[in-house]
Amino acid sequence: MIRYVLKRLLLMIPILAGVAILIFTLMYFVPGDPVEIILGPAATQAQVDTVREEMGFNQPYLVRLGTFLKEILVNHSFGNSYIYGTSVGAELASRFPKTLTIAAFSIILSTIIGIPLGINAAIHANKAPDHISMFVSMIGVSMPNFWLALMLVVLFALQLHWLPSSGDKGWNYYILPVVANAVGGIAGIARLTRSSMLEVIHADYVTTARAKGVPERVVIWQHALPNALIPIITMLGGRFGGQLGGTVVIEQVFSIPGVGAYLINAINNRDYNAVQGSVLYIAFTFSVVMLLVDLVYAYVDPRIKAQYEGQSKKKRKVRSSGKAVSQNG
Amino acid sequence: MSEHRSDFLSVRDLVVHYHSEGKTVKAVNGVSFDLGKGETIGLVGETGAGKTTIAKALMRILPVHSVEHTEGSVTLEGKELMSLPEHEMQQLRGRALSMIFQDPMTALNPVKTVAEQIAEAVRLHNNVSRSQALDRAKEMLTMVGISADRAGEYPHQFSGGMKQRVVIAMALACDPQLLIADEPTTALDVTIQAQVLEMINDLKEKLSTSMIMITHDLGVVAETCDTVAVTYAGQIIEYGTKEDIFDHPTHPYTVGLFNALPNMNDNAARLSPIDGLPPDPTNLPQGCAFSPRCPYATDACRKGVIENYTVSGVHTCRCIRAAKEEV
Amino acid sequence: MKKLTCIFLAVLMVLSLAGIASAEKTDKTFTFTMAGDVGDLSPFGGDSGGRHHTYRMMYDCLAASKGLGKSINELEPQIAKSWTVADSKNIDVEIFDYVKDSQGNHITASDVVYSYQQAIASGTMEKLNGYLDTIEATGEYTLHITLKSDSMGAMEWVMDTVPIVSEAWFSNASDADKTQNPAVTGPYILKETVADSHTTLVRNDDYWQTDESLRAYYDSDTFAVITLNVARESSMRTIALENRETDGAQNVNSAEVAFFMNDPAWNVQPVYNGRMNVIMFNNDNSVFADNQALRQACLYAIDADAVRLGYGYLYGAASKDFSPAVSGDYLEKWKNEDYFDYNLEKAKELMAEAGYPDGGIEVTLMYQNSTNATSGLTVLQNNLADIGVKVNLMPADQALFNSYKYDDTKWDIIVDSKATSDFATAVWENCFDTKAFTNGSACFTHDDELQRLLMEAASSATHSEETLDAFHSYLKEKAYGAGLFEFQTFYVFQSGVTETQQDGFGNMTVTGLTFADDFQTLAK
Repeated sequence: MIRYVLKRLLLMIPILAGVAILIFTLMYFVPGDPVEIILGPAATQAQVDTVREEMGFNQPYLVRLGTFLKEILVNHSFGNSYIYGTSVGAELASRFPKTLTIAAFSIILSTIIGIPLGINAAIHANKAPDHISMFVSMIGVSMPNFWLALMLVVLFALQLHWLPSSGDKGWNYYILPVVANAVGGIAGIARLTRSSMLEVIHADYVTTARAKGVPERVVIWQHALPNALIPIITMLGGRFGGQLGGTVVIEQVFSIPGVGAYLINAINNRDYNAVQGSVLYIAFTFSVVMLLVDLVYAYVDPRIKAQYEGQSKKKRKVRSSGKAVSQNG
Repeated sequence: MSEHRSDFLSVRDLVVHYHSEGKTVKAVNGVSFDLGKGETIGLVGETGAGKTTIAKALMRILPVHSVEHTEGSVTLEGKELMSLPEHEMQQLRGRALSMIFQDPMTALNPVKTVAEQIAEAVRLHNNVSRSQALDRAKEMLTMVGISADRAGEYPHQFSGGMKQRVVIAMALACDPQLLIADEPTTALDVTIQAQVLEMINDLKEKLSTSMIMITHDLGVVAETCDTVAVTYAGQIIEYGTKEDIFDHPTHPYTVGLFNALPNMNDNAARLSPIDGLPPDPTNLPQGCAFSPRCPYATDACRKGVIENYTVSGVHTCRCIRAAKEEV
Repeated sequence: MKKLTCIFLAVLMVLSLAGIASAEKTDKTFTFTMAGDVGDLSPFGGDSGGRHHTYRMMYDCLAASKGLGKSINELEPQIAKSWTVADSKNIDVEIFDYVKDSQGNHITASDVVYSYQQAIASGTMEKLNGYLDTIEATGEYTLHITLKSDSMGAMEWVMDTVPIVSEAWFSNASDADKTQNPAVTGPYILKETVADSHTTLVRNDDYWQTDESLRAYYDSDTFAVITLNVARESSMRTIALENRETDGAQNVNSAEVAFFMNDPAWNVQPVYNGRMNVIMFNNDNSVFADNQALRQACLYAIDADAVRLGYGYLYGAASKDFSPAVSGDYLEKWKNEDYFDYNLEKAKELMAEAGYPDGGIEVTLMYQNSTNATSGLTVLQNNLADIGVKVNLMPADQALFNSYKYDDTKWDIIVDSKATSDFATAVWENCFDTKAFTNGSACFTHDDELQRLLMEAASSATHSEETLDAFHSYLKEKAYGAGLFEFQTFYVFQSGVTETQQDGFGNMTVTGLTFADDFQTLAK
């Protein structure tokens, strides 16, 4: 298992290198640069041209790529933001926890609601509870999350005064953003749980469990669900990894200084250092999340764990000759 | 069959109808039989004859949403099972009556160790601690010929034959009085088949378990069963002791089954199957369900309900010809 | 009786003097909600709307401009105690001798010179670089400034836009210090700033200008803490107000402002902040080049007020010049002229004159992307369709727009936003001064007469009603481009704010506001 984890970690290096070069190249070719934004709309063409030259944006591709890579590898830094003047790395480090909070709690909330909804639908497939569950989750996915966010603010902040409308000054400021973000995920999780459970519920081992006299609730939650989890985990992992890149709309509406808001503004402002740093950071966190997801698979399904270990076991088997290897018969 | 032959298991007029794609599937249409303690009855028939449905009906693990209608009575040691509340039935499953399924490859939960799965059965029906249950599980594994150090392994680490042994261990872990074995060796190759059957027989004798052996293989019947019930289209069309059926097959279908067996001593160039196909359970023929394929069918066969006639002793046959032979 | 009256009057006088002299140092706080981020708050950080609302509370400049279009004699002293204008390009300045920053560094004339040099070196103050020739200390607290240009507004710009910092601090400060923890010469110290979230300013109890009668309007320090929140969504700003989470908000949507207008709990301030929308033609590489009648036809076909309403600006007016009406040198008579006032008949006549009696032209219109702009320009698109000109709208995001606007192959018509903080000539120069462009001007004109008239109007030596009108009329006739419309933006404050004051950029900074004595913040 350790070998597997190490191997995956090593694989991340070429991935990140590729991402770095790719994002740099993309930003290089995208027209526009941050100069006039820094100077303000009243700047003249002459002023813009001068500053552009000073900031080194007229240098050839390879020179700029070299500077960028050197900054990362030698100085261990993403440089400073052209717009804010602050260190990109420091900015990402302070924003990551906020984005993480929103992403983590909304995944948890989506899961707590989505999985039982899906299980309920699967158990009563094609009957009323199924239709109701699917209808409810359909409503959830049909609401644009910025609209939902505003509606929640109007209700809970404006009318009821239970919660603040925007900002991030305390734990209660995160409640509405998390809820608005979670609702959209519920539908996907519920539908996937439903279809995955339907496959599993008709499996023979579920019938075996019933034949042993296992109570129905235990059959569903301890026998069926663990087997249905693999595709659900995949989806949750992908979703979580994506959300760590920032839930842009939620952050904009609620004025939460997260990674998404930072990246979107950086792109609009062509803030090269901030964009490159943010994208690399996202690539890194996503890779880590995917690794964690794969490890969770191994925990949930021993057959997958065996697969991971099998690669190193096979080599060992071959080496120890003369040993009776058969486990079968 | 009007009297209870024994006090152990008694099935009377069992009916199970499913609905499927808008039609009613008449899977079981009035099945009755008895089973004594320590006896084995073989339920023989082609695929689709309703054998597994009978078994699941006894266990009351029929898929709830597809079942349209069930009827009949099942008495186990005097207790009526069909009207028992679910939680009481749960207590009986695995303990008083348990089942072995057909396909060992999928009968075990892939994410739990074999010991856990056996131990679960033990803990459900006995007030023991986790480690005591695991000990019992290891005992059962040893009893079925699997080394106890493999207790912590997962199903995918075992071959088909070993998996089936685990299933058997699981089914017998709580010393059930009735074991229903649904084609337990169909998915296994012949040499393993022999081993598994031998093991089942040993255990059966050791624990005096009654058994319902569902199979389409007459060879298996010969090895393991005391009595035989031949099923066709959801009904028992012939019943008797093993000798009755093997030596004096009466129903044309039963006769056809024996004739269809390849004979090593024969020089026949071709096999002799029974003509025609089993009937569509959504659209059963009037009268005798076998009549479309029966070489002896008459008009009387195609009308009304065919009675169950006694041939001799316990040997019965649901055929008008049997009546004519009745003394 | 007389004695009592005397004593009574004396006491009254002392009390009122005390009232005038002491802006009480209270514990009060103020929360303000902005539409955009403050950006970079280091002394010479890049431009942004948010920064404009903030940095003047932190940094003092030589002088301060209390409103738009102030001339050099109307500026308020800040760090400069007094100044003498030698001629249109030379000025002598004397600064106070007790200026210090929040970390105790004493400021002298050489620090001022250093600040200006750093401002230019930072690259973010190119406009300054275009105006300033030399600056040198002539004594410990005196300096002499020479300008490169005598354009209107140049001298004022040089005096009131450059933050003064201490060389001792700035030369040793790290980048992080400069942006997060700068040593300030103004009344407020930056406590913390979190981009996209909030900025907190704390009163500098050690502010150098202890004589309150000498303070510029930017330097009032009524509040112990000022919190600036960011809410990019306009509906969230409105909600923050309604929900009493803030004492004031900037840029409240004109459609939502009615809610606050008739409510005595709120003080609604409409402002013309010197910003306007202009439309220009590609005068070199398109169908509009060399076809004055066509350009004029299009301008007459556009109903500028309808376009403005399409943008969602319920309050505003169609333009009457290529500059906003709040400019200091805007001529009254322009307000009553016909400036391409919507006239479809005339437009059609001119189309015939231009050689396109049935239209049949297709052009590309580029603009900076936003939902407002797209709605408004769809109206314009319709207007031009009436004379047979098919307009393809090309929205571009800010950075793309900025790089394409100097490219004459990319657009035939451009709609852009222009602003001035002082004079109309600033806008004209910004768009038409050939010296600042590689391809003629912002709309690719190559007209020597236009340039000559511009230089005459813009130079402070020849700036007069006649020269202004001459440029205005010539540009109108040539129709190379025209002002489209101006609009009011709204600040909404709680009723505790009794008076507001626009600064030199048309913004309302918190320190420029006047408050009731019993002002209490709404935010918790």
